[in-house]
Amino acid sequence: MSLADLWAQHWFRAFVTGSLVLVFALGNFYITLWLERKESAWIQNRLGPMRAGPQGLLQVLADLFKLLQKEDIVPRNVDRILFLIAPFVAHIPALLIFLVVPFGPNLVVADYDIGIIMIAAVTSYAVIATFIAGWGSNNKYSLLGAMRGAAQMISYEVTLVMSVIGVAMMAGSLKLSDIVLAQAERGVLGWYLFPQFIGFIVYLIASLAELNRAPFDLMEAESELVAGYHTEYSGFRFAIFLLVEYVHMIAWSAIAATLFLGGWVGPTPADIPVIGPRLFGWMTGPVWDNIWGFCWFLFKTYLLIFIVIWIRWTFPRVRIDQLMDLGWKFLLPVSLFNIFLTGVMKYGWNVLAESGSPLRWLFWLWR
Amino acid sequence: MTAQYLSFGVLALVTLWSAYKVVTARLITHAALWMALSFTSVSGIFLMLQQEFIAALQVLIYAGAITTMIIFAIMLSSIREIRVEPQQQTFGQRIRASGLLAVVVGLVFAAFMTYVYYVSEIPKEAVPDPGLLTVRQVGATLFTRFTVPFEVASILLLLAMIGAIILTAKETE
Amino acid sequence: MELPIYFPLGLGALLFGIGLWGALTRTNAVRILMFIELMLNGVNLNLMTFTRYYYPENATGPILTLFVMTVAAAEASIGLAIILQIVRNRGTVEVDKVDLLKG
Repeated sequence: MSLADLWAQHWFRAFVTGSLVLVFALGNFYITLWLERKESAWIQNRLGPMRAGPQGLLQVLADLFKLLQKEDIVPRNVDRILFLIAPFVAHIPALLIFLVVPFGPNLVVADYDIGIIMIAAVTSYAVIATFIAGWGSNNKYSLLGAMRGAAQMISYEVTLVMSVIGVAMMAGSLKLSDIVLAQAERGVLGWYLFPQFIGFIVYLIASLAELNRAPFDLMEAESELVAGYHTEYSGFRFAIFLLVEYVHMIAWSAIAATLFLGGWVGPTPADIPVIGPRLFGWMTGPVWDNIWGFCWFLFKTYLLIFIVIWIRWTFPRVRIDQLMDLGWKFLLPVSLFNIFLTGVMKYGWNVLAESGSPLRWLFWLWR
Repeated sequence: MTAQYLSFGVLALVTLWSAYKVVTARLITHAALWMALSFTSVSGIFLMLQQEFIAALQVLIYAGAITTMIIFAIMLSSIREIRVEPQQQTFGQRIRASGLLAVVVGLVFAAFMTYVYYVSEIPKEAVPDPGLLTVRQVGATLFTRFTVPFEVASILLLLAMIGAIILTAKETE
Repeated sequence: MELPIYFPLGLGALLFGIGLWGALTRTNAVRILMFIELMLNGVNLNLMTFTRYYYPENATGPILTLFVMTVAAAEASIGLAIILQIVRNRGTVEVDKVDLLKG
């Protein structure tokens, strides 16, 4: 079904699910921001925010409220329209990614055939938004930061897509729900984390660079560029940039959880060997499947978010030439090798499984 | 006035207006951003024509890669002339003279298309509800019937890459 | 599709026309590249329209469009490299100032 038909026939569904995605993104933005502060505190052996609410849970709310009541400063010589729209252009790709992510067996907004390509496509707007912000600010630090960011994002997008191709080859589909179902059939050891281990590592590094997070946060390297492309932004618009950064992080973690960790697949209480069916047997059926699926999905996503934050507070920032070398000269060849390996291994399994040779167990992971 | 006409109208207006602004925008960076908007709304029309795959590729290649590349070219090449409008005196005349040419060419195109449309035997109605062309079908055709063109295209891309590197690399001793 | 075929075809022709107009009026080489991309977009629109209206089961149209995009990407990268080289050697991006045959 094309988007136009979807809109014409299901505009109500589109509206409701779109709003739900927005609520999901905002809620997780809140939790992730809090998690970032607490985790960085934990890593640096301090307590982090403790005053506002239990364990500082309300601190993020207080911060956001503070940002929202600040004056919306527009410097005099900026390219006014571009300066004003940049935050809103930036948040479009971050939210559009959630359209294709399956949150549960039936919880997916638009199950496109071209899921992975669509994710890659909407991500390109992030580059344009960065450029709009950098150019609109009319500030050399902003522009330099934006151009660095554009170079970095465009280089790592290639690597990112290449690292995911292996998964598409294994599942035989670009549709995210098909990929999850294919992993569900294969059991825990069959999750693409194991056969696509190289792809997973490359994806993790490349998505860090795509997110512009430390250790790859070169476009806002404060020792070199003040604050990069959002030097001139304040108050409300700065808050939106912050939102975009964290929603992007959640989105890339969610995609990694879907592609490599099995998405919503996971055991439910009814799967416990002896007592499960007797005690929790009533917790089955389509609605409960979606609830458990959603819980597993959130768990896996937060596991990855935890790792991403951990990396940020552990590693020092790299230099721009090191970053480019890593992307083009190491990660891209490795991900190409991963595609080759996946093809060979899949072919090997297909050939040997027919002949029944015992050698086939070498290729079992890629079955 | 149905939803289809309405959405096509909106997309077509955005496409044409942004394409017009690419020509007339004073700053070349603005022109590049208008071009990205034009590509995006063309991809919306591809979605209307039920070609999701091509729509996504349109965004990925044109709005993503080519726009970024052009922005980089602007930043690397015309940074001194970014704020200056070249040839202010003759520009109006140029626009008028070749705008006329473009109008003439467009009219010839339109006349030719109308002629073909009414004279020829082509069916005037679309094939009803064909269903979506899946990526699988496109891929299968690409790797069976069009294997050789596919390989040639990849060689072309390789040559373009090597050529670009050789042309832009600074000569080092 | 209840939309008559000449709507998208006309849009493609107009897009091509605007691209042609721009390519003839502007002298900045980078801008001319942009107009070439716009014209190719008009062509792609025509291809996809005919595919949808007459051969919706046939993957040839999308593949031809794919090749057009490939060529456009290759052309853009080479074009930009040449422009950068011109800027380096002659210090201008205006095509009508690059009029010397000998380097």
